[in-house]
Amino acid sequence: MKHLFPVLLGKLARFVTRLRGGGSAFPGYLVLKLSPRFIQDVANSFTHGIVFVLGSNGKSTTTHMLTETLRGHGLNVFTNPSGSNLPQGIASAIVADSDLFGRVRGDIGVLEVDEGYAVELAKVLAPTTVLVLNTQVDQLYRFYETERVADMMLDAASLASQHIVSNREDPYLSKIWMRYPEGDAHTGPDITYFGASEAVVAASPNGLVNAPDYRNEGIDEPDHVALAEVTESGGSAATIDVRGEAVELVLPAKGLHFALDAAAALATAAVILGDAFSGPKSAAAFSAMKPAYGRGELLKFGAEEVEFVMFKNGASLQLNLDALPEPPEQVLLSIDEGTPDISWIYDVSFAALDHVDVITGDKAWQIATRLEHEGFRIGAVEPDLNAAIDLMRALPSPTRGHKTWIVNYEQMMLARKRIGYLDMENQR
Amino acid sequence: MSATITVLQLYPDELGVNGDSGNASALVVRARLAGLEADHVTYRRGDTLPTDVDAVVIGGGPVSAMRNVHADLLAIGPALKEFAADGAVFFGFGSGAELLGHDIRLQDGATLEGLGILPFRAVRTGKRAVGYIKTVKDGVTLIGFEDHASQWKLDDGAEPLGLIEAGQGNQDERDHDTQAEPRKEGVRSGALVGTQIGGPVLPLNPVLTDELLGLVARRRGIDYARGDAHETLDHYAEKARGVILDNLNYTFHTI
Ligand SMILES: [Zn+2]
Repeated sequence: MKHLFPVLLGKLARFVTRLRGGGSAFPGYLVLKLSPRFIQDVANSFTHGIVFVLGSNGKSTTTHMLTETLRGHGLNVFTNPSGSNLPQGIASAIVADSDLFGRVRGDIGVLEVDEGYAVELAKVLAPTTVLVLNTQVDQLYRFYETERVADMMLDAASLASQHIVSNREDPYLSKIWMRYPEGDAHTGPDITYFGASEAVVAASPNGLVNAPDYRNEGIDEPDHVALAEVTESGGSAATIDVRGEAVELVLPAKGLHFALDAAAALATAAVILGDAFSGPKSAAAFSAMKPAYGRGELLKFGAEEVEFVMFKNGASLQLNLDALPEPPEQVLLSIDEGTPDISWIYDVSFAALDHVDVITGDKAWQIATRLEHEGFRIGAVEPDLNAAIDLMRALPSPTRGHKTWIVNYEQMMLARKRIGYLDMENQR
Repeated sequence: MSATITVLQLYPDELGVNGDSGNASALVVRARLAGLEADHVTYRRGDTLPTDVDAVVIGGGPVSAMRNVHADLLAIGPALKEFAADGAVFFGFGSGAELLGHDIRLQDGATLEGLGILPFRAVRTGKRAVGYIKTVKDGVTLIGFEDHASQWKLDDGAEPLGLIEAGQGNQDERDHDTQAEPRKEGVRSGALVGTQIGGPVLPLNPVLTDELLGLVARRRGIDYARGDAHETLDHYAEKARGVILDNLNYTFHTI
């Protein structure tokens, strides 16, 4: 009963913000203010507990993959909308799904959580499982040093009551074992790894772009067995070896990083489901997934199509560029103030492109300056996104299918709207 | 007289996570556009140091990376000091600049010894300075992005690189208290430059890059002059600067 009034208010706030168009963290803010124990109580109601998904890159995608895989095994899964990974956003998601008493029906909660709030939230929500994806040089303006982000994730992982799932190929996160020197059986949660075979990693032009761990350089890393290992990856096809069984997947987007996200999701599902885990059920769940929002999606653009390639930092831009099968015929590249410091564009290899047609966003001139240092062929620099889209429209029809728009998150949202896609990224 | 200009970037893996190769690249590309031969050479731990160097570039990285290159840096220190005494250009950004200074006091109380090439010492404060920055000195305006938690204390009589018009810079408390002096950014002693302006700063500020290339050329006995070939690059940089100047007061969340 105690949450009735706050939840009612939260639901009312949600109704109002919906009318105004779009999602909002406000309902969650309101409920947290009025009833701070609200999300904690909801968390305790899931029979299989709560999974946290943390990482510099791929949180939304992996959360989606894990959610669909578990659903494919018959579980009723509660999850937060893509990108709503701050405490208030998570509370808002719970308000949206709860009945008037603050109860959410579900067997398990799968939540993507912002690294900066992971420990704080873990203390409230007591996750049974924490999945840590990767540590990349990301948002230095927020975190200053990558090491700090790695520690936030490792600290949060250590708060898992049952399982930690970590990336064997990530120099920081693979060292979670160092926190359990006596072995993990009696001292804390068990540790499971996911990864990619040496051959698969070696075939990627710039590797996996995870941050190097300089502080543990002298440490002798044991050979960890990966419960789920990417053994083949090409475009949107991947083969993942799970406990010796080869699971062939169609990924919702192209690239090795998505294959690794899939391995993370399968490893986590296998740990949670135990013997009930099924390769065929997982593969079926993957083939039913819609292309990830803004990640390799093909959208109609007049009589043509646009492929959206979304990135959030230098590492994800690099991995997405490396996943391009050939230099795209028509390219728009856009970054705005949603990515404040773009010094890293000088660390990214643009070898996967042979030209750029239009550069746009607040950072357009900075990008042009960087590419010009390499003697890149640049068609036009047009900071205004609408004008830039008109320039792309005015180009002759591409002979090889579609135009490619490489954009940061904020620019993707604007560009989608501009070409007539008004849906928000919260449908799961 | 023709000669190849060698731009040496130190520890690009450990101290190069802020687009620092862009600073080396700006020097090399602008020299080439002026018709000069120029090479971007990298030095990693354990490599053999080249003997004939015109400019040394070192960039930013985490404390663990500073610790990892530290022994190697001290080992090549005498050779680097010789380059500096010979009039080579030194351009240090962030952590790399701090290692060129006297020493760095870290937050855990430990002190890392520097090479003493740049006349300052650094104190890691935990007080973050994040956002766009603008400095002016001797008619030269520098702009970029700063992101650090360091106080830089210049030696008595040492000159800063710029005086702050927007941003935090050296966070020198003495200046803050008195309000008498304008706040400072970076350190400059002839051909030796240290700064916390990122972006990276040299591609965004061709005026500084050209000045450093002028010093490089004079020492070689050749001419460096900006010309028509630089037009596109300078146009893009000028426009990029304009946008940053318009957005100087944009605030960034730090957590
Ligand atoms: Zn914000």
